[in-house]
Amino acid sequence: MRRLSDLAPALAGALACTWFVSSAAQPAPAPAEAQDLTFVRLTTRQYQHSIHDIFGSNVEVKDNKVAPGFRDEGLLALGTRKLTISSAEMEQYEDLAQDIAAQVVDPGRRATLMSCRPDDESAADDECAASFLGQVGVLLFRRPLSEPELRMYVSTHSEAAGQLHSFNAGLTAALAQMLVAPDFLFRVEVSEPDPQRPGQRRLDAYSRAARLSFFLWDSTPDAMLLAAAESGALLTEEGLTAQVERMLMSPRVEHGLRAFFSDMLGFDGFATLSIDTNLYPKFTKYVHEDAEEQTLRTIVDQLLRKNQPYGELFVTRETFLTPSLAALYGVALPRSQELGGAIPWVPYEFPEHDPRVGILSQVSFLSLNSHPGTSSPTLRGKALREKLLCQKVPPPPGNVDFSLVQDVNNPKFKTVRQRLTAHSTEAMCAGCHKITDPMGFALENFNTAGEFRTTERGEPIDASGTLNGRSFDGIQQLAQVLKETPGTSACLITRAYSYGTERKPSREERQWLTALQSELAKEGGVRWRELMHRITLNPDFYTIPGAATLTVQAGR
Amino acid sequence: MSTHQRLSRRQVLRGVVGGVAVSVGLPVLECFLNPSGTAYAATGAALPPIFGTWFWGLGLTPGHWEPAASGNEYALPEHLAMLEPVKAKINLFSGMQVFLDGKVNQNHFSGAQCQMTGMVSRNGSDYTTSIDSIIGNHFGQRTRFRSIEVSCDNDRRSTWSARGENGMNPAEVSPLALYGRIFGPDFKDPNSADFTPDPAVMVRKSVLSGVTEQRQALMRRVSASDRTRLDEYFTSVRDVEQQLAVQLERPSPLPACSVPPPVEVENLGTLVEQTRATHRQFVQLIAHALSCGQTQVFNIAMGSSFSPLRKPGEASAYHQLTHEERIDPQLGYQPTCKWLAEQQMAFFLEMVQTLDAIREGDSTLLDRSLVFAYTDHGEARLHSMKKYPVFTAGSGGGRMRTGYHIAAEGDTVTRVGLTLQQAVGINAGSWGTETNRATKPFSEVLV
Amino acid sequence: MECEFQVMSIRKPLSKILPGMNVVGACLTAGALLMTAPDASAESRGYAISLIYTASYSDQDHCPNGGNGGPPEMKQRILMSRGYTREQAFKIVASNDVDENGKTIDFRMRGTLDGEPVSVAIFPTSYPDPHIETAQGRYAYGFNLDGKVDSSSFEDPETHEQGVDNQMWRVLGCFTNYQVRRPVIPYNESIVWDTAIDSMPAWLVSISGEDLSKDGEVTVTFDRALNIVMRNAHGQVLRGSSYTIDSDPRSHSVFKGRIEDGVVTVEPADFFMQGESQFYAVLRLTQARLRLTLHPDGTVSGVLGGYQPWLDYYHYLSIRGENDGLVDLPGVYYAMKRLADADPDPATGENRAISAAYYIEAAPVFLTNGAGQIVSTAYPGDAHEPGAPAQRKDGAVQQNAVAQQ
Repeated sequence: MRRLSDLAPALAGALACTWFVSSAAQPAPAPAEAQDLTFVRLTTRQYQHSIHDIFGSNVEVKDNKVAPGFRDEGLLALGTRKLTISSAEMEQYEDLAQDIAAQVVDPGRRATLMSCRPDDESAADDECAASFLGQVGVLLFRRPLSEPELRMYVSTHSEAAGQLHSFNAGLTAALAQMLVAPDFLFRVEVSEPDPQRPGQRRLDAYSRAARLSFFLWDSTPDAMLLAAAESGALLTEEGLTAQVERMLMSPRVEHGLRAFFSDMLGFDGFATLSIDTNLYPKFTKYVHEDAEEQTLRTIVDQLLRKNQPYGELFVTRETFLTPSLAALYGVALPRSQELGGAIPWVPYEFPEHDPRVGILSQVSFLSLNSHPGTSSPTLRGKALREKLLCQKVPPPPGNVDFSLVQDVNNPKFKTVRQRLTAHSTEAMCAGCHKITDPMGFALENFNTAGEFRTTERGEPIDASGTLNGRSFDGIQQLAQVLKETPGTSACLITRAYSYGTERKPSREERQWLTALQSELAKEGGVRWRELMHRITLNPDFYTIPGAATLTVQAGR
Repeated sequence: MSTHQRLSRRQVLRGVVGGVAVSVGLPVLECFLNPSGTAYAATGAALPPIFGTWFWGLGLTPGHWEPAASGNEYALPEHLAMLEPVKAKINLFSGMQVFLDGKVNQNHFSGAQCQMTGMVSRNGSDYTTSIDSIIGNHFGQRTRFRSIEVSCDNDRRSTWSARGENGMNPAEVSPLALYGRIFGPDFKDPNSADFTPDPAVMVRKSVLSGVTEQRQALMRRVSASDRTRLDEYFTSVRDVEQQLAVQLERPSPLPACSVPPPVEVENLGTLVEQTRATHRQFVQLIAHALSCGQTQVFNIAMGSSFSPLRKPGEASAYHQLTHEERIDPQLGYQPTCKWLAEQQMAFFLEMVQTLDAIREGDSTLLDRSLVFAYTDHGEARLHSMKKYPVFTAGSGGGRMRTGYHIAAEGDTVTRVGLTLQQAVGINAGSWGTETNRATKPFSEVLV
Repeated sequence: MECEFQVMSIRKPLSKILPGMNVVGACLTAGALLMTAPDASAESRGYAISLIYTASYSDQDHCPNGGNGGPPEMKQRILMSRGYTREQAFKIVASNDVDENGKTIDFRMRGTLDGEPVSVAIFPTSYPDPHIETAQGRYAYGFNLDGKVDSSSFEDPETHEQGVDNQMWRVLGCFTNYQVRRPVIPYNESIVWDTAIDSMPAWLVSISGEDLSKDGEVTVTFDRALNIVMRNAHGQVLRGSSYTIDSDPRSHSVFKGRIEDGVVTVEPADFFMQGESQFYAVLRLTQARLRLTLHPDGTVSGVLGGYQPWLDYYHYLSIRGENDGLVDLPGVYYAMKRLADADPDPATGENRAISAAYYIEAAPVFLTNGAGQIVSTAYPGDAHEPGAPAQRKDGAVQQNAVAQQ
């Protein structure tokens, strides 16, 4: 590879300083079974969940600050297919690996994870190490280790144990090596020719297990799922169904749900959210921290616990509040919190006719899609279109003249809506702004911090707008429109499928998704477990679209 | 190249460590020189050049920053008056533009992308190797860190540095965390009297080299596009391995190196005061890191190109103001925006002066550096791709002349990048693609 | 009966608090479970005290002899009484209380008991009365508690009520710390209050009446909360936060009164509020009176006065010590004893209570009771919307509608 040879110094001889050496100028042509591998980077949360699920939740995983990645087709998940690991991130992973390995191997914890003990604590013990590393390796790499692989890790342990005169240190070294291996840091997807569709490729059993569990549980496959992969059960419809149904009954489904909606609703924006607290003193850091959790709890409660259809999220008045959120929303929240006790999450229902309806009225939506000092119907309308309706809003043209936008202190244009009126009357602006602003106007009763208001600088707020020809006034009506619009659930279904496969659906898949939506609509709406069930039992979910088998190389 | 015998790192270390007293560090081997031989050694040869980039969002007030005269006897206009103390050590370029060649102007992206990578992509996410990586590769990695990226607006995505095509290098946003990374327990003070390589570090290093041994097997099995991603992963593993390797060798003393006091308090946020404080902390850390030989490449971003910089009491942040603030009819510009641009120029001044304050013999850290300062738009209000303000600071150890204003009306901004690459000795006849392909460096400033 | 409280359906957690009680979204009539239940058709507004301090009113003529100063001046006087010259005394105090022999003087232990040095904070009478200067002048905040207008009375600077009894002001008013006037508040109290409210259960007020926008009868109650005050991003009391009233009857004080032109005045009653040490461990006043102004922005402020056991206040200062309380402790003790004007001890005839006045500021919050019912609502006021009419419609939504912007 060109880059490597840049780095490899051009020195001859036995100088003991070679970095890499390419053993030949060009690699041999790939044999037919080659190019069967791709890999997807784990997210921070998936990394943490995996460690906790394998080694126990009392293993501390330090905060792992990797780059947030980038959004493709509305989802960060698709970006993970295109990401690699930079030096700075690798630094952190190496540090984390050493730290986690040391914790696992710590005498206090070791006994629960290892069934053997070394003969001599100050020296290597290949047999015991092999037993431990073999077991743990399956869980970490989500597939069994090959003989040479296991030997390599065992020999890492024995060398390190020799150099540092400690079995534990040797084991730490080997375990850390596994934790920085690409097989752990990435979700490796191995494909094989699909017997049902000649010319196509599909994921092998272990890769299926991984895709399934990261989709449903946002974590690594457990031992039972791996066993189903090993036995081949996962490749059969009955076996797959049994696993899917087992997994959907697990409380871990909540992790998967949270990870999905965090991605779809853009909650990575919380890391950089900045609302001006000079102007909005109620937006304390507690509100900032609680806002994301409020919405996720609402979603978990509605879609998992109560098994409500997706549309309910927009019209439900049920949610959960903390004292800080309650103060921001202007409602009383009785609490019997002890002095110095943990801040409680209290289930709360807004009364009938209250404007706080659905997730659009929650701080997470209102503030994330807004400016630090003022609200923005454009940003909110754009978010509605892009995040909830899967529509694309074109970016502003490069040479737009914003001098049309008035001075915010202009006495003639007091409300944001009035200031944006010119945007809807100027032809150059109206094309896009009429896609975004009308929906955003319905939310103008909420300022940028999420507080309710009926006036802005003394002018009453006009919250009327239209969507697809349906007009509405205020958020209650907008919420109803969203709930009833087929595009809303179509968007969710498409996003869910994309999220699970980390790619755009193919044409055939899109047809299938459309048909799925009609079926679910007849059943009263899209329910999360049912949706997961259908998606994960669709064989296409495990195919690699467009990847045909390579032509066989001559004389390999 | 194919005559090399294949030796694994592990074999190397085993030979040195096993049975041999571990008190003598590995000698400074010639393999730690790059092909052009400009490396430092314990012999006291010239210290290596430094390359850095400094990004600020939303440009300057157009029409108010361009000096009337060109050459090395120009006067700084009022808008840039604060740079007077460092005028002799910087260069200012005006008049250049970014050519879109019919592509969509990805606002607040294409301009910076072009200056850092030489090309403009169709969409707002494709990105490729940036100039700091190009120059860093040319330097070869002899320092503990390949490069250091920081951002002063608490957003890890405010970065324009990339190794390849598989994502940008994330920025460090916390001075506290950066202090720990550089000067924490893994730091080996080059001026410290005693030195013992730590066997635990050797083990850590060989763990990583064991990882890289799987490279060939994996590379065979992935598609072509995935190969570059995998390759970058393995390169990152090697970078960390290199960091550990540096800890295993006795460093050459660096008289200018001093460990900075630990960072205790940080104040992250987007108000001007907060950004100033964070920037100051970062610049101090980076300056010390450079003078202590911890890295040769750095990237500082004041923040995202949609600058969230805020003046206290102002409801809107900088980016929103560039579009919404009225142009004052008397003054002829947007007053708050001009003020905010000047705040950022004050930060630039502070960065330059901080580097200049570290003496290294007869010269300063700044003299050894080449810093490239760039922004996203020539006029933020209109998302204009014309008339970009561009600075360089420092002479790279005498490789670039300073004190010049060069008006390059209508030229592509990539001329600056080409000039910088030639200055450090890269044999590049051109840089950039399509109309942004520059072939003529600024010979006025090349030595 | 029309319910004008915003009552919502409470779910599981509350049924854990009150097992067996099934509170649904119903409206409760007066007297059922609400302890301080006003009439069901009435309005009740809740407040959390955001600031309370000795109501100081400083004037140029109220300390004609120059005042008592603060700890530096006090120490200098003590040194001069021991024979040092003024210059020597100044030098010692300026060098951190180190005398000419290099020894640090411990002013605290200047008392003598049975021949041993003792702390004057704990044993104020172990040191002779320094005869601090007491405040004179025309004005002091407070109320006419005894109904008399005589030479020992003041005039209230805001209401110009005559015969105001505030002997505590006389005692304290010539120490630098107290020689302030609103909006400045006594320094030692401001520091301690600021720390206290972060660890002390909130002090709550509710004002209830038929329609508080009109003149009429009102009831004012004070209660202690179960919760600590919540702060907003500016460090002020978070408007609209919620507090559960502590049902302990000790810290429950009820006043009956009237509201006229937005100002509440009450009939005398007793006041008791449990606090925290380092601040007022307890604040209790007999024959207490109250004057509260309801401001358009929703906050209230005013004066609470009455007879306070003077040892309570002395205790507060002595815990702080002279360096933090910023007073001469024996001086205050002797002066309080001398100037106390109520509640004579049957045995000695000496007065145990002293007339006092405190200034209160409070921010609008929700008050709830142990059953989870809203007892008082957070009145939003006009916030800072110039020109906007105060949202005063009944009904839960509108009442919460106009939040601050």
